[in-house]
Formats: sequence, C-alpha cells, structure tokens
Amino acid sequence: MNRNAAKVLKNFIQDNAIFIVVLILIIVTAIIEPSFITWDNLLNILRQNAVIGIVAVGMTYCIIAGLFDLSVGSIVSLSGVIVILSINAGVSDYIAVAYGLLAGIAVGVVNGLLVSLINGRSGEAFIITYGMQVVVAAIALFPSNGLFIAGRVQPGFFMSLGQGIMPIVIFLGLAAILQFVLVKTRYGRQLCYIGSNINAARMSGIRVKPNRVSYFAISGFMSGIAAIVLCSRVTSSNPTAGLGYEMDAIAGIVVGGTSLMGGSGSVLRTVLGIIIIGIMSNALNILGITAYHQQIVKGLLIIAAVSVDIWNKRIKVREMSNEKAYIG
Amino acid sequence: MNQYVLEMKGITKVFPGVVALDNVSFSVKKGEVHALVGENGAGKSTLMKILNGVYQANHGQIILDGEPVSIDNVKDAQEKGISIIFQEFNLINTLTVAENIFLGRYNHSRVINWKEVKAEAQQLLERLGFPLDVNRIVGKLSTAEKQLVEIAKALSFNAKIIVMDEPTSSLTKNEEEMLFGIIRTLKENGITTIYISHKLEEVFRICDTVTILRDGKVIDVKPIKELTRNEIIEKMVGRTIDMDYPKRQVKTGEPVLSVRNLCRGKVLRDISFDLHKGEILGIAGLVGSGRTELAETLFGAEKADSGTITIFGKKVVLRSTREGKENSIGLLTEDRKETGLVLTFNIARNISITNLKEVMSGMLLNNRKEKKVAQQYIEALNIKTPSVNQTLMNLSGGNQQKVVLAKWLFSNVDILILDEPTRGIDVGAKYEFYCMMNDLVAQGKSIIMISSELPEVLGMSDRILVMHNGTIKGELTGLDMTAENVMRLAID
Amino acid sequence: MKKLTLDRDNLKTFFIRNAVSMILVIFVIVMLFVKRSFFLWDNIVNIINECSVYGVTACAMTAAIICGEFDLSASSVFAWSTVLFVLCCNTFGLAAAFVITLVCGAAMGAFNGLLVAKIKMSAFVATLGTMTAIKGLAYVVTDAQPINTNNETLYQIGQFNILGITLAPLVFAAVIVIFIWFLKYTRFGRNIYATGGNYEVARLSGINVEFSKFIVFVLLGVCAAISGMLYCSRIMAGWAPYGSDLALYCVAATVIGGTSLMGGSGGVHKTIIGVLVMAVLFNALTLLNVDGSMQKFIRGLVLIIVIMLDAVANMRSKS
Repeated sequence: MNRNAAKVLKNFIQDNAIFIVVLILIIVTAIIEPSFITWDNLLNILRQNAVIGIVAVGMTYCIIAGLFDLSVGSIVSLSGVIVILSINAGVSDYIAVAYGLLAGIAVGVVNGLLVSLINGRSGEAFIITYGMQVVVAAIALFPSNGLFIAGRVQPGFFMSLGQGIMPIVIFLGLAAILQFVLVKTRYGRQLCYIGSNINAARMSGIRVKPNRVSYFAISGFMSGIAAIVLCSRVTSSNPTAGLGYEMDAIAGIVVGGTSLMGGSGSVLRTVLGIIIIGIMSNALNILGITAYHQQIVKGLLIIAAVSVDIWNKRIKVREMSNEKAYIG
Repeated sequence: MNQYVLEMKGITKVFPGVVALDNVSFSVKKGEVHALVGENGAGKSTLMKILNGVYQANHGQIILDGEPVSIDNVKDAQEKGISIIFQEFNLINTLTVAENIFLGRYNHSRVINWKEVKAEAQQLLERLGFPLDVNRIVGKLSTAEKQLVEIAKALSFNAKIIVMDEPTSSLTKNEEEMLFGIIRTLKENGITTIYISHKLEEVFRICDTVTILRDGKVIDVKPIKELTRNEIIEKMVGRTIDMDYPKRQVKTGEPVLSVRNLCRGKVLRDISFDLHKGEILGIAGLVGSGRTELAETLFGAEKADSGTITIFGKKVVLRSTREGKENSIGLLTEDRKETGLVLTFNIARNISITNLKEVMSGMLLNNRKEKKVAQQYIEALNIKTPSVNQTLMNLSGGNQQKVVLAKWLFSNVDILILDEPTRGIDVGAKYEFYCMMNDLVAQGKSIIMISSELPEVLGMSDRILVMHNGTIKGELTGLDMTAENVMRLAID
Repeated sequence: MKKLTLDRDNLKTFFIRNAVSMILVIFVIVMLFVKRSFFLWDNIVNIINECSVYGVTACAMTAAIICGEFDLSASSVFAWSTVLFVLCCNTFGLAAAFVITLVCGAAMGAFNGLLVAKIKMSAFVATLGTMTAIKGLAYVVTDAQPINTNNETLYQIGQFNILGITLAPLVFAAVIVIFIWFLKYTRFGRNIYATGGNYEVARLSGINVEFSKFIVFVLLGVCAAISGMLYCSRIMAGWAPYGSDLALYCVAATVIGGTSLMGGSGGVHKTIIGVLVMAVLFNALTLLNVDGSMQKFIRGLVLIIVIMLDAVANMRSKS
C-alpha cells in the first residue's frame, strides 16, 4: 500500500512540479506582504494579464497541433493600429473592431497556407511565423512611422471592452469557449488527433490541411481580440504593442503543463499558467524584483518546464513494455 | 583450412509471442555466392540482423573462419568483416561518394587529406570495375550507383562477407548485369556473398548454393545445380496447414468497386479489377509489388495519375482520405504505430475517430456513448485490457491491432481494405480476426485483404490477385488457389 | 556511367534555390544606372564594414544550420556581450574584458548545446528560452540604460582602418577562412555535415553526433561574442536592445547563400554571398531613401520567401 501511495505522489509531483514551485513562492510572498492575497490585488493581477492571456489561449490550439505561431505579438500590434485608425477615420465602433479581427484572421490564414504548402511541422511553422512576425510588425509601423496613434475614441462599445472587469470576462469567457470546443466537439477531438499523430489522423479520414490552417486563423483572431481589449483600455495604439507577447504566451502555455511537442494539453492549463505567471510576477514585484529580472526567470522557466516535459515523456516510454514489432 | 568462412549453429531467436528462428544452422563456404530464400516472414531478415549485430540470438553460436565470435553491434560486425547492404541504403545523401565510403574514418591526424581519400575511394571503385566519379553527391545517384558505393564501402572495411538484401529490386536489366559482374569480381577476390532474393531466375544465374528457410526453420541446403525452380518454390511454401480457417458460406454479388486502368507513376501500372459484394479478395505479391500503393490510392491517400474508380456504380475521383471514407472505403494500414493509432490516447478515443458523429448527442461529444462503444468492441473482439480507459501504449501488439480493426468496423464503411492485418499477432487472436472478417462479409460488406502470409491469403480469400512490379500478374480462383501458383506469379 | 546532366528538373531546382541571389544580382546591376553614389568607394567601404560585424556570427549560424540546428539566442548573446565587454573594459581593462566576454559567450553557447544535444530539446524552444533569459540579464545588469566606455585602446582599435576598411572586415575574413578550413578539412567539420545530413546513419557509423550538435552552439556563442565586441569598438557602448535582428539576419544570409535548412550541405563560402547580397540590398534601399519600417518589412519578406523557396526545393528533390 505504501509503495503505491509513494508512486502516486511521485507522479503528481512530476506532472505538477512547476505549480508546486510557484505555490511555494506565493506562500513566501504572502507571509512577507499580506496585502498580496487580497481580492483587490488578485483581481488586479487578472486584469493586467487578461490581454496576454487572450493571446496565449489563442496560441494553445496551434501548440496542441504541434505547431508554433510566433507572429501573435505583431498581429496584436497590427490589429490595434487598424482599429484605432478606423475609429479615427470615423468608422463605427463595431466595424472598426471587425476590421481589427479580420486583420488577425487574415494573417493567420496566410501563416496557415504557407505552412501547409510545404507540409510543415513545428520547425517550419516556427521559422515561417517568425518571419511573418517581422513582416507584420513592419506593416504595423507604416501608418504612423512608429509613433503612438492617439485614438479619438468616444465612450461606447469599443471603450467598454477595456473597462472594469470586461477584459477579465472576455479572457475567461473566450478561454471557456475554446476549452469547451476542444473537449466537446468533433473539431476539438480532431485537433488532438492531428497533434498526436498527424499521419494517423490523415489515414483515419481527417482532412488535415484545412484544419491546420484554421488553428492559425484562430490564433490570429484571438490576437486581434487581445489588441482590441488593449487599445480600448489605453484608447490609443502603440505600433509595437505586441513586442515580446509570443514569449509570454509560450511561457504561460508551458508553465500550464501543455507539451510543446503537441498532442496533449488544454486551454484550461494555459489559463492556469498565465494566472500563475501573473501571480508570480506580482509576487516578485512585491519582493522588489523588477520586470527585467522576471524576464530571466521567464526564459529559464520555459527551459525548465520543457525539460521536465521531455524527462516525463522519456520515463513513460521506458516504462512501456519493451516490445519490438516483429517483421520477418 | 576450414572451408567455411561462416557457420551459424543452432540459432534461435524469440520475440514476444513469436519464434522468429528455430534452431537454424546456416553455413557459408569461403568465396561462394550463397542464396538465402524464403517468403516474407520466413526469418531471413532476422538471421541477417543477428549476423550484423543488430539483434542478439537467444541461443546458438556464430563461428567466423573457425573462431567462435560474438557480434555485439553493427560496428563490431563491420570490423569483423561482415557488411550488409540493405534495400534502404545506409548512406548520407548530401555527401559525396568518397565521403560516404570513408564516413567517419578519415586519417586520425587533424587535417583531412582529400587527395588521398578520393584516390583511395577511386581505387576501390576501380577494383569493382566501375570507376564512378567520387565527387558526385550520393543523393543524385541511381539505385545501382548507390549500391556500388555501398559495396565499395564494404570493401574498404576489408569485408570477408557481403550480404545483399534484395539487391535487384529497383535495377534495370543492364544494371543487374553490372551487379552480377561485380559479384563475380568479388568472388575472384575471395569475398563471400550472401544473396537474399525472391527472384529465383537470378539465384540460378549467380549463386552456387541455396539455403531455404520457412517459418524460422531451415528446410534445405543444396548446391543450386541439384534443384529445380519448382522444387525450391515447393520447399519455400509447402507446409501442413495447421490452422483451421473459419468456414463460411460464400455468397458474392455484383461489383461494389471497379477499377480500370489505374496508373500512378511507376508504382501502379494499368491496374484493373472488380470487388464484389460479400467477397474477400486477397491480394498477394512480394514486398514492393505495389500492393500498399494500390491500397493508398483506393483510399484516397494518394492521387492516381489516370484510370477510373467506380464505387457502387458511381465514378469517383478521390482527392483525400476524407473522400475515400465518404465513399465508404476504409484502410487498415500496414504500420499501426505510424499511421493506425494514437498511442497516447485510450481505446475509446482511438475507435471513435472514424465516426465521431455516432458518439455525439447533438453537436457535442458524449463520453458515455464513447465508452459504451469501446466496451462493445472490447467484448466483440475479445480485446484484453484491464479497463476501457487503458492507453494504447500499454496494450500488446495483437490487442492494438484489434483496436485498429474496431476503429474501422465502427466507421461502418462498406469496403474495407486490410493491409497485413494479422502481422505480429498470436494464433488465437488471428483466428478471432478471421471470424470478424467472416461476420463482416456475411453482413454484405466487402474486404480486400493484402497479406504476405500465404496461408492466410489462401485460407481466407474467395479470389486472389497476385501483383508483381505494379501490375496484376494474375488472378487465381477455386482450386487454382495454391501456394505454388501464387509464388510462381509473384516471383519473377 | 552517365555524368550528372543539367536536365530540366535539376535546372528548375537550381533556380528555385538561388532565385533570390540572382534577383538581387540583377538589382545591383540596376543600381548601376539608377544611383551612381552606390559605387563610390566610401559607400562600398561602408557596406563592407557594416556587414562584417554580423557576418562573423553568420558563419557560425551556417555551421549550425548544416548540422540541422538553429539558434535564436545569438541576438541576445550579442547584446549581452556588448554589455559585458563595456562593463569589463571599465573595470578590468581591455585584455581581460576580451577574454571574459569570449569565455562567457562560449559558456552560453555550451548551455544551449547541452539542452539540444544532451536533453534533446528542440533547438527552437531551447534557444527561445535562453534568448529571453539572456536578454533579461542584459537589461537587468544595465538597468535598461546604455552603458558607455571611454577606454582609449578600444577607441583606437575601433578607429583603426586601412583605406577606410576597419578591423571588422579583417576579423570577418579571418573567421571565414577558419570556418572554411574547419568545415572542409577537419574530422569535426565533416562530422557536422554527416550529423546534419542523416543523424541515424552518422550515429551508426560511429560518429559522435551529440558532440557535433554541441559544438555548433558553442561556436555560435563565441562568434556572437566576437560580433558584439566588434560592434562595441565602433559604438563604444553596450545596450540590451542591440543586435535584436542578428539571428534572423544570419539565417537569411545562410539560406540566401544557398545552404539548405534541411542540413547536411552548403557551406560558409556560400554564406559570404548571402551576406554580401543582403548588405548590398539594404544599402541600396537606404540610398533610395526607403524608410526604416519598409526596410524591416522587406527583411522579413525576403526571409519568408527564401525559406519557402528552400522548402519547395527540398520537396522537389525528395520526390
């Protein structure tokens, strides 16, 4: 009985190592600074991380599919620019928002088509979306030549998106929808299949190419939404707003426990990961560790989390019965 | 002086559930060209892999030039003078001929003397009588030229024994002559060749002795002059049928699938046949004859270049596997780990993927329904698993294969193509498989069964098509369905 | 035995692989007629000086790509090296600063190498992580401000020039020669090709594939450090945002030059062409008064196009 309990405990620690480390950090911080664990503070953390949370949640589908989308940051920049410019040009709030979303979807579709054209896997997706990031970021700079664009925003639909708890509602709401689709629909099931074994997916009658394009489209769409929430809050657009977002998104996904090798994972985990990183940032801030230090931690965190993931997978493979398929 | 350069005595090799080699003794005289024949699965590959150091035998001894040796790995084998040339070459396509020959073995001083390396490589090729330009990139060479490089590489290791596995399968007639010339040159140099091939005509041309394997046992060893082609075939396939194949009433109807003049590149050439309702159509042939390629084309995984496919009277163009499935065709692939299953998923999720609509309530997936479906198939196919939620990774090969079958049964397609369906499964599970197949056709479905196991093809098929080199060489029905007839058509 | 003929298919693949270089060569010829100032000695010297700084790292990136790997963190190691170098110059003097920075670059490269070669992490993910961490380090140490140095020796080195050609091109030339020699004439160099060409076959042939994967990252770390120090000698400052486009630049130069991202082929001699092509292109754009964001756009576009062309060429040669 004891041995089984020990094994279960070991597995639990393995699967959730990062959570445990952060939990310890939280406890330590709470002891040092009690105001850390107030509702106000926690709500604040959520609000501050809603934008990046939306981006991360959107990227999760790509990651589960075994792909990468490094262009999300620049899509946020571009969408924001487009929305603010549209509003300044007198377009109605709803249409401006639509334009922003369309831009995101369009970039996503281009990503998807490029990657599908060369039957790309994670490596090709990585480099291509990396290149797209540069291209799209540059496009975002065109209209204002790199300067902030102040938005002539009237109170209305657009502004409401960034006020109060709306960002949090949008973040968690969309996350819930995406998680639901992932777990409960045919589309979501096919996504898991494609990410786990793309060949088996194809040979089971799934149309792999269109599906993969859609994952990029969703990622772009969500980046667009993130841009809208962001710009609505500051009622202006910063053409380099999304700089570094892809790193933060990946950090959130990885800390949440989703494997970068694809096939498994959930949107819920990403939400958790983002919240944890948010809490951790807040805690570190309170402890006097600045944003740049946190960047070091973030980078190391990604490496640590992926190492743990690889380690776990290797152990699982070793525990598997050592059967070689006999082919005479 | 011992006339035998190699003696493998009492070699037994067991894999989980299968005895691959049973007390095999294989002896080769120095300088001879020794053929090793047998059907797929007879054990030729396994025996050679033991010789090459890839596998270790469970019992038995290997004696080289009179000295007992142990061969621990591939490098060890190479250093002891044993080189194998596989069909998928062991070359690096982006490097030159010279570099491939001396891969990783440059002179140990810091700077590589390319002049020397290239000269040595050139010399080796000249010894074989075919001076290739050693500066050419291997990736751009023809198959025959790549073979040449591999043989030169073997020579550079001072190989005493060179094993060639199906060397002529992609060669033109001229290139075959070239290869035979090289083998003769090797012989003159005292190098022994072990020649694995299905092409008996070649075996008769170039080999001195032949060893025939069947089901992991040595059936006969004789100088080639003492045997006829028919005798060899008989020994390759002749066996007492010790398996009872489940009987059924054969009731076939009109054609459900008609293929006319199907062509795809060089792999499928002018294929035409019909599949009837309620029929089990067996497709036999050697590895590389195009059977799997045919299956993939019929399923929509690959597009045909020309020809027509008619399903239930309707002409179809299949541009994707989804269209194949929509037209009621399913394919149980050859390699379940690569293309048949998601090993990290559980049984239920692997089965439901082909027909997710059936486990949905409205627009949403219903876990209960999924579990029930899985339970049904676990019982129906007797899948041995501790629970419904068991991950595929933890099941044995046979049970994994049953899950793949369950997946396609669940898809409810009317035409099911099975590619090597019982590979790596124990006898009991095989029988259950055959029963399932019978049930299927009794319900009015139709099956195309591709298999390299002759007994299975003979025991289960209503008709047999034998493929060779991308075409259908012949059709066998009724009493003509014998092992010898199949082999005769399958082999050159 | 037929000699390799330049038949239609091979020709097509050749064109696809070298399309961008050819277009840009045409571009240069066009420039001849459009903007004479392009061909002034001052301008040419400028091109050569500028491209050499990044060019050093491009050589190492080529080696990594030949080995089938990729390194995003080169940008951050560059930035960090400028920071560290300046700090050490101010504290310990030039010679010590040089050694410390070099060793640090090697160490960071070694860390990447361990992650990829030993832990078998994907190079993309591993270097993404190290890139972030090292960039953060650069920001932390400088408090996000540029730091300056007045080191007289460094200044002299930076101002050193022969007919306008500074130290950087000389270092670049030396690095090129070293790399060409290393990749062609040493066992380690050839092992890099073998490992990138076919990991399994190389491994089975007794080649130490893990070491090959490891060493290319160390080389990248060292070269990024050298690039950073060369940059410092001109700018006399260190700052975290420096070199943020280095990694992209090196990959683009490598692929434009004709080395395939698939690994196992190509070489530094080809990357020189890529470096020159990009240098010429962007110099021309500047002379034509194309603004900054448009230049960035073209940079990204060129990268995507060459990557796609490379992938398509690879697909063709596989079938």
